[in-house]
Amino acid sequence: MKKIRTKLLLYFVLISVIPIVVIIFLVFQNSQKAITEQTFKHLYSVSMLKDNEIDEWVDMQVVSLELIVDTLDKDLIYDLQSSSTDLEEYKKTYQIIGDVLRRSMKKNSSFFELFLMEPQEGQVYISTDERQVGKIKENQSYFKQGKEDTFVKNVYYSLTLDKPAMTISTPVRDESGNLVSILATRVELGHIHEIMMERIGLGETGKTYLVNKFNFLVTKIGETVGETEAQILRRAVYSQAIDDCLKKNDGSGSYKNYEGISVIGTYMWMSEREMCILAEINESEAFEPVYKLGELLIMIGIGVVLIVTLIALFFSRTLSMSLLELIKGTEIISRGNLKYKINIKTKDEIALLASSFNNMAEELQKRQNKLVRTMKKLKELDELKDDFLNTATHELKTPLIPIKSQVELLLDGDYGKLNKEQKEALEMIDRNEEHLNSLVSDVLDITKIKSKKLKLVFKRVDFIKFLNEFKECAQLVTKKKNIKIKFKSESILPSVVIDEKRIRQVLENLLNNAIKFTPQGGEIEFDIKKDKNNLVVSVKDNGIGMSKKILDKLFTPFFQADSDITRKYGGTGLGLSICKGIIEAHGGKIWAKSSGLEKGSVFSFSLPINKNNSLTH
Amino acid sequence: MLKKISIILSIIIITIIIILGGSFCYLINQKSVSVLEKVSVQLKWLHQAQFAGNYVAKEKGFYADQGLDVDIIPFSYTNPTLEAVAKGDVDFGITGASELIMAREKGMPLKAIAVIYKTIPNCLYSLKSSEINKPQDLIGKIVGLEPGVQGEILYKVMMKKLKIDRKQINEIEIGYDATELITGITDVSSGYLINEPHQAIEAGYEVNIIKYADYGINIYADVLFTTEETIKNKPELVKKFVYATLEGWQYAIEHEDEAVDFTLKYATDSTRNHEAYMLNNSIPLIHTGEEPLGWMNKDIWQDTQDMLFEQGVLEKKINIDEVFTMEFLNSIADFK
Repeated sequence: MKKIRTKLLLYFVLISVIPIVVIIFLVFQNSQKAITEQTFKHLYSVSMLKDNEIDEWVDMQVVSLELIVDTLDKDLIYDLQSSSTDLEEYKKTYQIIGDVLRRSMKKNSSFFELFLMEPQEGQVYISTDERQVGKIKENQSYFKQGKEDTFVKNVYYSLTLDKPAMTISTPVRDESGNLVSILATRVELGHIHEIMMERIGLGETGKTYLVNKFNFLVTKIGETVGETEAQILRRAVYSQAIDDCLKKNDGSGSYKNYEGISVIGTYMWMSEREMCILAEINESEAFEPVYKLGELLIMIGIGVVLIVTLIALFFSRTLSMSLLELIKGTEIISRGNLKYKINIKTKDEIALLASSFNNMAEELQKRQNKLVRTMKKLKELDELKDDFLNTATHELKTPLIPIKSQVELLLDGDYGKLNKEQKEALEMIDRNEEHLNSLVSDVLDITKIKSKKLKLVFKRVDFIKFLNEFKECAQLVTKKKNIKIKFKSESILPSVVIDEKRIRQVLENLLNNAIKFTPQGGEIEFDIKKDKNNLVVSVKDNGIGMSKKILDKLFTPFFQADSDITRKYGGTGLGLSICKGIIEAHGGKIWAKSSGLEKGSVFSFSLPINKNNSLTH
Repeated sequence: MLKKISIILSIIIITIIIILGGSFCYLINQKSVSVLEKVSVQLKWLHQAQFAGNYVAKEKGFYADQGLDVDIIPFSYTNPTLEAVAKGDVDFGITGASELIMAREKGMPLKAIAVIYKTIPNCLYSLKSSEINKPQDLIGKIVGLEPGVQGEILYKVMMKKLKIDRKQINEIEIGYDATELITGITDVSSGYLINEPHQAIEAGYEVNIIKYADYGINIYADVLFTTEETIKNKPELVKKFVYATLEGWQYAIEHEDEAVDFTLKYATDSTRNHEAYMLNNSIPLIHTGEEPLGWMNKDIWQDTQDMLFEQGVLEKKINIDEVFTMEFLNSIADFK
């Protein structure tokens, strides 16, 4: 009975859980996607901004350097390059140009060294840093390239300076366009670091950094300068994003950064700087709102599922309770208590069903009452009839005894000799009186049986002896009608406890019936057998037999197969029901068999052996 | 009933899949334990931080990751590195580019496979109080020169390039340390940027350094090399060795303290202070971030040979492409 409840509960919960899970999943995914997209846009714009800022700043330095070239006196530079260092004039010129360079450098806070290289070997012949004078730069790209045009050597580790630097060089030409010298400046990288370290809009974990062509970190990562300064141009960093970016691609994605942390990031190839700019934010931070939303959604989901479960529990409980109540009620009703009322308080179909059950029970109750009343009436009538019959037959029998004795006296000639007519008349009276007597006896018997007032006198009887006595009488009767009679029995039969008179009555009745329906020259066979605990007596004839329909009703009082038979063979139709009453009173059974019309019939009865034995004790 | 059976069946199937999948992953993750290949490398000098990358590669298991068990052998006068490699006593060696070119010119079938020190650490150093800032300041001073072909050539070339008259300089021969400078025998001594100047610093002096490299003179200082035979017959082995060595150097550059720890396991007579100084000052010479670790340029090889020829060290010029190969560096760059 718990099944319906569990099923309902399960369905309810399933129905609520599945859409909730789907909704949570979809919302979660969509918002994750949206946040990723948004973060990409944001990071991209940050990178873009920084890229532009760096380029602009570098351009500014370039312009600044090129402006210095204009302020230089080319003739003086010629003089300086051509004259010997020992001359007084040289020192003067050196001082003048040196002053120009120093002044220019003061104007630009990002420059920390300005120097001129002679165009053949690239020797530094004047510098704002005296220590650099005399060094030869012939292998340096800023010398080789600077001869042609303005050149920016991007962030590298300067051995001379023993620190990361950027060097910009530009040719110095005289009025006719001849290359006089190359002017170069070292640029402080502080500003680039500042730009990259600017964390506005990058949250807690966001960062931007530059990586050069060979996977080396160009700018500081992290906030403490001391800790990270050493990383610059030394630390090799690898990630999927860097790999792709170094193939000169721009892009964005979720990936593991060089530290193995899951990040959302964008990357851009800065073609002029030959570097990659990366902007990354930890996934955990970027997705924090999503995770929070997810948590909230899951909480709401759990809440909804709980509520649904409770409701489902309540519903299924009421439903199964009413069903259980209904089942209990119907069981009680079916056991006969039609007054039971099934009590269901709900207002649904089950309540309707219960009330129709109740109505049905009420209706049944009414009908039963009616039937009981009718039955009672009928019983009373039946009893009345039995009483009447009993008294009537008793009263009828009483006058028959003197009639019988007087007729016998007359016939015996005690009241004088009778002529032939008189004798015949008296014999007719005698016959009819006997018939009437037997009729009355039958009716008396049947009423006794019916009212269970039949009194039996039990005695232990040797059945073989008892049978032999009956055999003699039977042979006399059958001889008259020219019917053969046979007795078949086992040689040893147990003794039984019976009412001798009544059992003889049964045997006679069955014999008479057999004779009645057996034509002249027919045969009747008695068969006595012991069958387990019973003694079975069968009477078989080869008379007219009967149909199956009739067999069923044979033992009903006053029944005769059909009215024709009554006319042809006579009888009250009480015989077999009396037999049945007697046998049943002995604890036995009586039955009949026939293979059909004209095929004879067998009547049998059984008498219990053990039971009778026990009766004697 | 059917439902129950199907539920049980699916549980069983899922369990089986999980177990199978798990064990499969486990099997895949199990590194096949194979016997490491025995390989040896002989150094350019005795154990010191100059070879920190090799120690790191060995101690951090980078060599083992490549299936190599590398024996790191210090320099020996009885069996010098170039000869030992050429004879096949050891598989790899570390030596200077000039020595390698000279050996090659003499017909030894050796080839550089990567460079470690891209900038020559040779220098001239003096006490700061002497105010010697540039080669021109050497005039009239006593200059102590360590014996050795490379140092001598660099000195001569620089002086020639700067048109400084060496007759005005008093040049004397000194030992391989800073003793002469500290005791005042010399005004300037030659040495290795990463080594001798530190002795003076340790003795409590401030020093001025003149680097040959600042005057456009450079020779690849330490190069990894092996025989042509090894390159031809065991290219995979060479690639693995180069890869793991460079991996060791990258680690050493990023984790100086740890690299010094490993170095001190080998350089048992040295001090942490000295090895840390050596490594710290070596890093810019090894790696400037301008190109991949180990990367070589033909121009520099060519310049070196020209310089040696001009100085009369070489009798003839050889095809410079025979001296070094980029095969392994290129394949590593692709591999990464």
